[in-house]
Amino acid sequence: MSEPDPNASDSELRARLGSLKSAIKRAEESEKPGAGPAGEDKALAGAMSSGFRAATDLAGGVIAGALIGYLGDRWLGTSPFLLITFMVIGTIAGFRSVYRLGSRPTSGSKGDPKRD
Amino acid sequence: MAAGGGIDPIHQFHINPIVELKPFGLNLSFTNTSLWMVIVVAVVSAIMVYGSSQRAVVPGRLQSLAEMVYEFVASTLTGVMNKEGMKFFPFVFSLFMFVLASNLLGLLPGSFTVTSQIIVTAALAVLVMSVVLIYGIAKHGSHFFGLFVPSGVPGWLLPFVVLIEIVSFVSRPVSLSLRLFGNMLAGHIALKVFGGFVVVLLGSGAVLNYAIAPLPLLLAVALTALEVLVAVLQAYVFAILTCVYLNDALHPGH
Repeated sequence: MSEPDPNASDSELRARLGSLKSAIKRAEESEKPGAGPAGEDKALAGAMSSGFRAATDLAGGVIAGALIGYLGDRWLGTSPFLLITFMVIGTIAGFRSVYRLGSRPTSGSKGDPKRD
Repeated sequence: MAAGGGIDPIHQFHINPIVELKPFGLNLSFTNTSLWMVIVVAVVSAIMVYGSSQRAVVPGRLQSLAEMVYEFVASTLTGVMNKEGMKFFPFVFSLFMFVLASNLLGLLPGSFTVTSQIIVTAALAVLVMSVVLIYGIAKHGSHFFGLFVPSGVPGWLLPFVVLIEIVSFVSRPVSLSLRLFGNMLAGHIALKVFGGFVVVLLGSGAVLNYAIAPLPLLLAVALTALEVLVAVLQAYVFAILTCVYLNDALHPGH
């Protein structure tokens, strides 16, 4: 019943094909990463999430280093040394995560600039 | 007089048991935290089940809410991990909805914010990292530990860099849980403190204090708006970081 009329004009078919093609193109574009209708909101959310990440990654590195050092000290009985060492390492790790966060957008576009 | 009136900004985070359960010396009491977690899960389930049961071509309010959240999480997921990340969709979606709903429900007056308890956020972060570790090792075997060995590092520096990478990996659940917990805790304390200022100023009896009492009230209103933004944003950050970490499990090669 809803079958298209076999005698439908050629131009009508072509118009349907054209509209289908444009619909497919639109669907494909919307499935590409980074494309969305709410571009500005998403940019703001992305910027704020980067800020939150940077702040807590820095603190997280120090805290994780301190935690590892403290537990290692309690396990091996080497009282302050592991704590100090791992706190320094944790601070470096925190800075490194923030550095990587900042350098990521360029690293996606070309080659592998990470060679520190 | 100062800080009087029994206004304690920390009191809202107090955990008190509703049903005491202590089998075998373990404290398994059903607390207010547990109650609000159940409420959060019930609200999320109700919205999603009702929203997806309609299946109208022109969606109603709840259905379009459910569809919007689905598309938002799906686009976040595919933005980080491309198409193959969709196998983690149920996991990321559940986490996102749980965090979002508990943040937003926690803003209702008189409610309890589950995500302001560090043990809850830490459990969520440990869950994420366990999935990363188990999936990564199951999929890539020992190759997964290539995550800790960046390429192009001179040999004498390698042990040091590997140590830093391992500490960096351990710091991920710490910062993941700390971020959500810290934002929720700080926001709710700030709201309570400014609300408390209004009460203290009005209760002090001096005429000048009546004049400046509306100022903290205005600030509390503005802070509430900010807290709604932070609640949504923290859920988004939690979801997107889960995606980033899961992406490491999919592609451990740096």
